[in-house]
Amino acid sequence: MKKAFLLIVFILCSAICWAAPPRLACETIFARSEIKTNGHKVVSVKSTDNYFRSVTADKDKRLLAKIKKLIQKDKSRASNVVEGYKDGKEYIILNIPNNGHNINVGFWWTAAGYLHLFIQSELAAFE
Amino acid sequence: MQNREKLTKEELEILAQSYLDCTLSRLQEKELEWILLNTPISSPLIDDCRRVMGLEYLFDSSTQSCCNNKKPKALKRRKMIYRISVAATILIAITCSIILINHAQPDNVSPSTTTDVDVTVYLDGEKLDHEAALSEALMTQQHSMSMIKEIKSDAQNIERTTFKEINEIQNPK
Repeated sequence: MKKAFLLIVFILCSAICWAAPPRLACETIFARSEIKTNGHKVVSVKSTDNYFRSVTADKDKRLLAKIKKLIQKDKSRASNVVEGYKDGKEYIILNIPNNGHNINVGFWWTAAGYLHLFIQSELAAFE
Repeated sequence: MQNREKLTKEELEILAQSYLDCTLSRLQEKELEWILLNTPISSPLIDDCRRVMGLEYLFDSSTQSCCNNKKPKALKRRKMIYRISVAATILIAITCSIILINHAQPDNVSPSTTTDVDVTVYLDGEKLDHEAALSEALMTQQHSMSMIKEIKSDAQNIERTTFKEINEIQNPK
């Protein structure tokens, strides 16, 4: 009885951990109201096989600083990180595994305050 | 031992003797243990059997007379724990099944639901209508994904070239 009980508790814990949403730090940006103001573009696409969210800003150094901090938090969870500089833009690309899926996070920006952040994967990766 | 509630004292004594003679199967021994824990019937042989089973602490024969049906605290507690464990196990199993079923559902959706796309686009603080949002979203995603592809491909090329150069330096012709 005890063994069966422990086994079921273990299975339950595994299921909860496996099915947990990724709770990406950079995803919290999409809950901010200032991204839906002038000078910003917010895109959200949700279907079962595609989940895409992005934010683009022309000159928003505050938002840029905030995203940079959040991206650093997510960086520690990434299985693959590509960072660099190209065509006047700095960039960082992260691949974060969750629920057996791979979440792509892309972020590029300029010193002047231009930024583009996006998160993309299948919907199941976020459930 | 189908009608264990209706066993007479004599029948119980026969079973108790069989237990003491070690002629019962393991399952029968367990059933007899359960019966002796739950029946108030008492006799020297039956009490002896209870003692051998180690039930004497759980079953106080003096308080288990025919007139007094009060069960000892330890026995009550044991039964309670058993019932709670069974209930908790069933509850956990159901919860677990629900979680796993819900998790598996996105993979089993019909093709018609996969075409349902929820698109929202805000441009300079204004929400675009569905068609404009769809085309804007498509363009943004395509641009983002092509950029990611390009960056990754560049990084791989640079890595490959660097390794090639290192090889050439380490193994000069």
